[in-house]
Formats: sequence, structure tokens, C-alpha cells
Amino acid sequence: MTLDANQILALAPDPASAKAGSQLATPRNWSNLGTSDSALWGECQGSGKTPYRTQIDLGGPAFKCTCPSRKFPCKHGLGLYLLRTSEPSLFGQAEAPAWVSDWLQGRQTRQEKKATVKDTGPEAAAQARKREEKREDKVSAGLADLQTWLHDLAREGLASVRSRGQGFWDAIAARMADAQAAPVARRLRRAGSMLYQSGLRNAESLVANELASLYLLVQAWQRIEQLTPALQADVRALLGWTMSQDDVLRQGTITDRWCVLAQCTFDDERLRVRSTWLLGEATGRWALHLQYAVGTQGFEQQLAPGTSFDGDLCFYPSAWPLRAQIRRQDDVQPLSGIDSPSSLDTLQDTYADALAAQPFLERYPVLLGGLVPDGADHGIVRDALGRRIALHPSFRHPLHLLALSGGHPLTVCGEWDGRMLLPLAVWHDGRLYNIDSDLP
Amino acid sequence: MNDDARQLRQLLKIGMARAGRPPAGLPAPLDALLPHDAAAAPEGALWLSLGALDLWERSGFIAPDQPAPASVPASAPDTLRPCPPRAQAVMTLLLRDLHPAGLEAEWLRLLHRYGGHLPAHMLPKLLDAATRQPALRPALLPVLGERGHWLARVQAAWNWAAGIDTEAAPWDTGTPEQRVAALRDWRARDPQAALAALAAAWSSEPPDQRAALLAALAVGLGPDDEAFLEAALDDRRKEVRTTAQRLLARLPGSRLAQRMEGRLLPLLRIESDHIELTLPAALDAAMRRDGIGAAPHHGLGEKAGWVVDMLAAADPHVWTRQFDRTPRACLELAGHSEFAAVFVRGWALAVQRQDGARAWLRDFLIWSAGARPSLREAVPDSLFDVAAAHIAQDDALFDALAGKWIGDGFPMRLLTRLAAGAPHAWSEDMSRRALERLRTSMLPLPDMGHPWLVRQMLSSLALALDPATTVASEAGLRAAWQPDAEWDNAVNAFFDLARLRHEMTLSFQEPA
Repeated sequence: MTLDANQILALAPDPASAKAGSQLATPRNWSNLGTSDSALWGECQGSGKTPYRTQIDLGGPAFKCTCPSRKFPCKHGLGLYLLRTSEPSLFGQAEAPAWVSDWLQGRQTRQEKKATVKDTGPEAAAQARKREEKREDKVSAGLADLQTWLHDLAREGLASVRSRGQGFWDAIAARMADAQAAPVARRLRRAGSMLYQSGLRNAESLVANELASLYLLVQAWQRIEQLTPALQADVRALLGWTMSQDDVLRQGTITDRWCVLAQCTFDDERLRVRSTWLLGEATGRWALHLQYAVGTQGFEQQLAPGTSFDGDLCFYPSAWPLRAQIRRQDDVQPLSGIDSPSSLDTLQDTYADALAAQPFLERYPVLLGGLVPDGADHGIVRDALGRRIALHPSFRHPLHLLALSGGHPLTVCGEWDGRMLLPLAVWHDGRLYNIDSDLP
Repeated sequence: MNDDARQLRQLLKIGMARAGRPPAGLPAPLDALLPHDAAAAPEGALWLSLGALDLWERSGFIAPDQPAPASVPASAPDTLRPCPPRAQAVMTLLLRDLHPAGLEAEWLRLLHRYGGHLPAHMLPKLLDAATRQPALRPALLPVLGERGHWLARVQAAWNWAAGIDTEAAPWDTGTPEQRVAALRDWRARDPQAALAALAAAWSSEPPDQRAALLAALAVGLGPDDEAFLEAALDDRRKEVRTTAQRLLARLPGSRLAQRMEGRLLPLLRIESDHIELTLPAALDAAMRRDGIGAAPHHGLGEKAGWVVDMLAAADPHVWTRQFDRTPRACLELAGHSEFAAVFVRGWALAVQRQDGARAWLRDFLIWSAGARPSLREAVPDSLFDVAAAHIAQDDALFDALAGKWIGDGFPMRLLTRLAAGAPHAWSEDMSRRALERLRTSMLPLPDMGHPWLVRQMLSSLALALDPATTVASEAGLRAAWQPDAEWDNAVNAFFDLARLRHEMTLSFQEPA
């Protein structure tokens, strides 16, 4: 299967690469083009003497190029792929040359290795346990400070700390960072900045809810032994414990045909984060796939919205497992249809169940059918029964939603926070529009 | 329960110390969650209550069940064809701003020719773009389709594209802008009836509205309008008089044009190789009424400026008859005269006004290619924009640009201007001629001189030339141009753009 031009451009790590890639998609730059069932290759004359060897494993897709660029995929990879969509006749079916088949084989071996994960010795485990205890102590001390800080805040009142500015929030956030509870630090900084953000209505109740949720988290930590092991894992993740990819891949797998329904890329402090929602066709399970990249580096795994793949997913342990790693990804196909989206009532039921199991749930995926964007109030959509569903204020494309619907019902994939819907993708007329990448 | 949450948030806002009270207990059924505990900190109770209520609200969200207000009816199905996927992919690239502007309009025209409508998800961006740049609207409007018009109705800024029925546009009741638009439409359909309507309403029109309405007569202008325009020359408002002067000058054989000829003929005398001009002595009221001396002409004396105004308002064909010469020979004659710039400028303005003066227009271009630069400056640039719209089939132009283009940047400047002003892509034939001229008249690029002009010409031409012809002549041009490292980028960009436009054309040709 090959992606269309738009999906290919969505793989670019930044707009400059997309531009450079589309400029390279002309036959003049390429020689020795070829394709097999699973791969695509060619040589691109760059500024150097020897041409760059560019190759694509179509299954992933995965890219490799001999150019020195640190962007990934590089412009040559994108150009080669784009050239294939615009002029497929240039690519003759051929036996892959050695430099291509070696790479493909290497990838194969690495994937197999990934499937069999190594074990560590008992000594290393003991050391890890010791480090772990030290960290737990630090977190406990930090959270105790946070609790005191929150008690003080409740006595003084939000109104009176307002005048102290962002520094007041940064100070407690820094204390949390010292205590190795980075996510808590981030949430405190963000809560503080909401207070000073102009144009944000009901900022104070948003901050109140966020701080209350942090207070609940502190209490959950203090009583962690009483929680189920799954919820313990959630609490630890929320406090900054990470799980190595190997450990995740050691969890049981769930095999399904996974539909890539929505993807967005955003900056989180120094990192670029790409989050992708997957929905299993047979199991109906949702999975959140997160990837991180620094600077202009690209993301390791290419998941194009509007496709589906046959794969094994390993979920992070949680009372309501959503986040997952991909252990195997084969047979990427364009998405041909979307199975039974849910109604608002089903959403409310499952969301209540989810909150009951994991009350700290931050992002909750939903596929809602029969939504009609309101022509008069662009901030809401209506369901089949005419009920109003508010769109999240950070949603920037209400007019695109209207354009796609034309007053007719749409299927929307998005995130639900219990009050508002943040649309991330629209299924319309046999095609998925990923809002972050497909809407100009 | 909403109230409880509000009270708790209020308490958090002012602070428990200032309020002097602990939080109220949670209402049933949540009260069991937080049994009263005298030992526990009341601040903790506040946070826990807030957290519990938040979860309670979120898990039990009830969508407000307001009936939809008189909602907008859904859009009708489109009767135009859907856009081919391959063409859609090209537009996706264009909308990423990776390519020079201007291609969107060409793409939209191709879509119109294909009989298609825009994909829905591209509508907002293009409606926004055309709201900012009205020049894009004529290309966009015919491909909006039902969905586009529907969408334009739900967003106030896009109402210009809402497809309001112009037949029913309110001439009697509309806003001033709507009435001008209505009159223009009416003129296009039935010029005489529209004139009659304007004449009937004229005396009751507010003075500042008159000039705008009068200008609408430019649509379908004909001899029947002359009497009305002539009367408007005596209007009290200057804007109305100016508009009437301008329109009458565009009307071949109008009384105003004849008066101008009558004034000019005694002033002109042909000597062996030049025209002798006697400047008029004074400006009388009748001359002023016809618009002479209304504004000064840069670089010319006052009286010379009057002559320019007279020439500009007279039919240029008079001179070819009077002097019994082709326009080109008239220009040569003028070039040898003392007041050369007066003739060149006056005639250029007249030609610009007269849509039918093609021979003059063509000769002007050919003559400027050989004219001395100082005289060339008397030709207003706007003449070349008029030419750009008309030269589609003219080969003589490229013959005039023959020889090696050394030392003088004019051919490049002229081609840039013509290409940039072309309303549509050049025909295959014309493109072939232009490319042939580029191949034979240009030196290898590194030796050309005027590098900036050459670059500008290449980028304008890349948007105007027929893409298939350009792509086909790539090898020959590269051989002639011999681009070095410095020129590589510009030349590659030129051909890349031609290839993109070629792909764009092809993308609309796949079988539907």
C-alpha cells in the first residue's frame, strides 16, 4: 500500500522538509529507481559527488537515506515517496539491490529481537529497588509540601494569590521538579498561567478543579497501598514514573486491525510530542500512542491518519488502559470505513465507568456519530436528538467542520473531558480528515 | 448540586481565613464520601469536596436540551462534478504556501473548466484568502458549488460569496453599493433600460452617489449614452464631471472627442520628419468643461499638459487618418518632434482608453522596444497592463524583440510586465514564440547583465507560459542559457514551476 501525497507530507518533521521534499519529487533528481512489493529505492544526486541512496520500507513506512541530514524522514525520503505517487511508471519492479535488501533484513531482525525481550539479573534488580525507594521518599516529601501549600492556598484564597504573579506558581512547580514529580510541576505551572491568560472564561473554576485533582492525587499517593495494582500504576505514572519501552513490550499483547483515527503534534516544553489515537476494529479498544522528538528530529514510528494496520499493541498498566506501544505493525492499508460510532448516551455511560475506574483520566477518546455543527453558534455541535455539545475553546477549525458537514450529520473523533468535545478528526464521505494535518 | 460547586469555588476564591467558615458538607449522595472528621484539616475538606463535585459533574454530564433555534437549512447536493483526487493533491500543496502565489487562481480556473466544485475542506481557507484579496474572487465564485455558497451564508465575513441572486438585486431599495452593483448587472443585460432607470432617478440621487452610479455606465457603453453623459459634464460635483469626461473620451466619435480634435488640428503641422506643435494660448471655460488641465502631468509644462489631455480624449485613429501613416510611423514622427513626450503620453493614454485600438497598442509595444529610453519613460506602465490582456495572438511583438538583448533591460522588463499582467496563461503558439525568443536572443545567463531583471522575468514567465510547451523546450533552453552555479536555482525554479503547472493541467484531464 502507498500513501497519498497529503499523508506523505504529514510525515515530514517540519514544513521546510515538506517543501524541500516536494521539490525533490521530480525525475531529474533521481536515478536507479526501483520498487519491490515491500520497498522503494532510488539514488538522488545531491550536492556531493556520490548520490545519496534513499530507501523506503513501505510496510512501516520506514525511511533510510545515506545523506547526513538529521531530519527524519529526510527530504530525499519524502521526495522519493512523492515521486512514486506522481509518476509510478518510473519505478520498475525489480530485485532489491544489496544495499536495500540488507537494510530490510536488518529491520526484520531488529523487530524480532524487539519481540523477545531480555531479562536482567537479580543484582541489578536489587540496585534498582534501592534507587526506587529513594525516589519514593523524595516524592513523598515533595507531595507533603504540596499538600501544605494547597492548605495555605485554601485559607488565603485564589483571589489574593493572583497578585503574586506567575512566580508564585513557578516556585511550587520548582519544588515538585526537585521532588522528581515532573508532571505535577508542569500541571502547576499550567494552572498558574491559566489565571493570567486573557480571554479565558471561568479560568478560576478550571484552576480550582485542576488543583483539586492534584490534591486527590496527593491523597492517592499517601494511601497507595490501598489501591488496586492497576490504579497504583496510574498514580505512579501521573507522578512521573516512566516505564521503559522494554517493560511495556513485556506486557501481554492485543492483536487487532488498528485504525489510525487522529493525530496531533504539539510542543511540550522542549519536546515535540506526537499523539495518535488508534481504535481496534475487532476489540473496539482505544489506544493512545505517544512519541517524542527533540528539535528537528522526526518521529521514529510513522502512523498516517486514515490508514489501518494489522498489529500487536502492548498497553501500559492502568486501571483504564489507553496508552500503548506498538510491538508489531504490518500490512498498512487505507481506511475504508468506520465502525459504528457511539452516541452521546453511550459516551456518557462509558466515560462514567472510566472515571470510576481511573478518576485522574486526562484524555478520553470518543468517536461520535450524527453530529451536526450549529450554523448560528459555531462553538457547539448538536447530536441526533438536537442536544448541544460544546466544542473545546482550543478547537480552531469550527468553520472547516461546518464546511464538511454542510448542515448534514458527521462522525467526529475527538477527546471528551466530561464537559466539552475537542474534535481531532472527521470522517466524511469515505475519507478521514485529520484536523491537525489535513485541513488547510 | 451546581450551587454547591459554585459555593465551594467562591469559598476557595476568597479564602477560608477571610470567609471565616469551613466548607459546607457535601450534599447527598456524596456526603457519605467525606464523613465529618474533627481531626482532619478543614482546608483538605474543601479540596476533596471540590474534586468530588468535579468528578460527579463530569461523569453525569447532561447536555443542555435546548431545541435548535430556527437553524440554517442544510446545503443542497452539488450539481457540479467533484474535484479529481489528483488535482486535489496539487491544491493541497498550493495551500501549504510552498509555491509562489497566483497558482491558486489558475488551479481554480482549471477546476471551473473541468466543471467541478471545490472539496469542502478547502473552502474555509480559500474563502478567507479571497476575502483578503478580492482579485481571487472571480476565479473562486464559479467553483464554490452549493456547499461553498451555503458556507458563505453562515459566516458574516464571507457573505460576498453567498450567491445572493443578482437578478433580484434591489435597485430601488438596496444600499448604495448594492444599487451600483444592480445597475452594472442591469447594464450588462439591457443597457438602454438601465440608462433610462438611472436618468429617471438622477435628480433624486444624493450628489455623492451620482458619480458611483454614473461610472456603472462603463458597462455596455455606447452612443446612446452620449446625451446623458454630455449633460453630466455640467454637474455641480467634480467627481461626476470627471467620470463623464472619462466615459465620453472612451466613446469613439463622441462630441467631446470631436471637440478635442477641433482644438488639436490647428495646433499640429507635419514637417518633413516631425510634427510641429503650437501650444495653446489659454484655457477657456469650454476646455475646462471637457476636462482639460484638470491635473498636472509630471515632467511636462502646464500648456503641454493641456495638449496631453486633448490627445488622451481624442480617438487615436484620427491621427492615422490625418497623417496618413501607420500608428508606428506616427510614433516615429512624434519621436523626432520637440514635444515628443507630449505625443507619446497623450496617445498612450488614448490607446489605453480605447479598447478597440489594437493596432495602436501593438505598434506602441513594438515602437517602445526600439525607442530611446528617455522617451520610453513617457509611456505609462499601465499601458503594458492593458497590452498584457490583449496580446494573446501577436507574433510581431516577438519579432520586435529580435537580436541579442545586450545593454538594454527593456525586453526583459516588457516581458515581465506582459507576463505578470496576463489574465490567463499564454496560448501554446505564443508561448512557443516567446520561448524561441528567449532561446535565441538571450546570452548565456552568466553573461547577461541585469541579473535581477532576468530573475524577475523568469519568475513571471514561469506563471504565464504554456506549461507543456515550456517543459518540452527545457533541454534547448538549458543549452542556450548555460546556467552556472549562481543561476542553477533560478533556472531550476523556472522549470519546476512549469512542471508543477503541467502536472496541474494534467491532473484535471484524467477520465472522471
